Amino acid sequence: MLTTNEYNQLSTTEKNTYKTLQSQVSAISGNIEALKLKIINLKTSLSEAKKQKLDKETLRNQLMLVKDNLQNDYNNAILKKQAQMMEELKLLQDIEALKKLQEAKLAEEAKRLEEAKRLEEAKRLEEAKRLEETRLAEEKLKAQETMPVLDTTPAQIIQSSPKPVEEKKSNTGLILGATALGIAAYLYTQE
Amino acid sequence: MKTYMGHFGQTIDIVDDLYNKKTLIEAQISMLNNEISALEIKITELTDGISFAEQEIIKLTSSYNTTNSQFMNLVNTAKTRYQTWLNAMKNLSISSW
Repeated sequence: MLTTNEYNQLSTTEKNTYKTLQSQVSAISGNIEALKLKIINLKTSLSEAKKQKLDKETLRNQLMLVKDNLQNDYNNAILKKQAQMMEELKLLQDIEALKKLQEAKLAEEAKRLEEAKRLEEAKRLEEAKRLEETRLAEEKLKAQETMPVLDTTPAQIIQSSPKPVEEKKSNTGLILGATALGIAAYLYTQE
Repeated sequence: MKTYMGHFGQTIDIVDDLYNKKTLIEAQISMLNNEISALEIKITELTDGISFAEQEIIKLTSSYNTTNSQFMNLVNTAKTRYQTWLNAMKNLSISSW
């Protein structure tokens, strides 16, 4: 800044001050330049960080959308699974109900068969009884065909039998009385 | 529930598969959130650093102006003195003729 002649015009103190100020100005100027360079680097880093942040936020938002879709799919799948489980449960209940119904039908069938068997037995007994009665009736009819029919009870027969005092000479009354007694005795034992 | 065959021939339940995928995505989102938080801290630090450097430049510029002013005053003083001395020398040589 100063020529040698100009510089020589300064006193020793002024010369020292000149040198000091000159070095200070140079140092300050250097520091300012360094700071400006530092600011440029910081701004570059800042821009890069902001870009990274923006990229990551974009990716995060995309992932959030994917996650929301997955969440919806998951919820729907859970609902479907629950519905399917309910359906399976209902089927199991239906099967159980059918099983019980079948058991009830089988029990009813068994009861019906038992009743039919009982009725058959009763019918068979009734038929046997009827056959026996028929047989007895036939026997009775045969007996009636061989013997005269009397519409009197044994007691009446006895009462109506001839008195000893009115004894007749003929044996016909005696024979009839004996026959009536025999028939009465037979009928009595049959009852 | 419907299932499908995996890459290794295993049967994969769709509900389980969706849950696993969702969990994986959630982990990735969580990781990204952490990275974004770290970047936000870094951005704040960088912004603060820039502001600090700009403030320092303002201070240094002020200091530079003051120091340079003092320096220029001294320079001007020296130049004035030299010019005065030079004029004096010229006058002296003229008068000696």
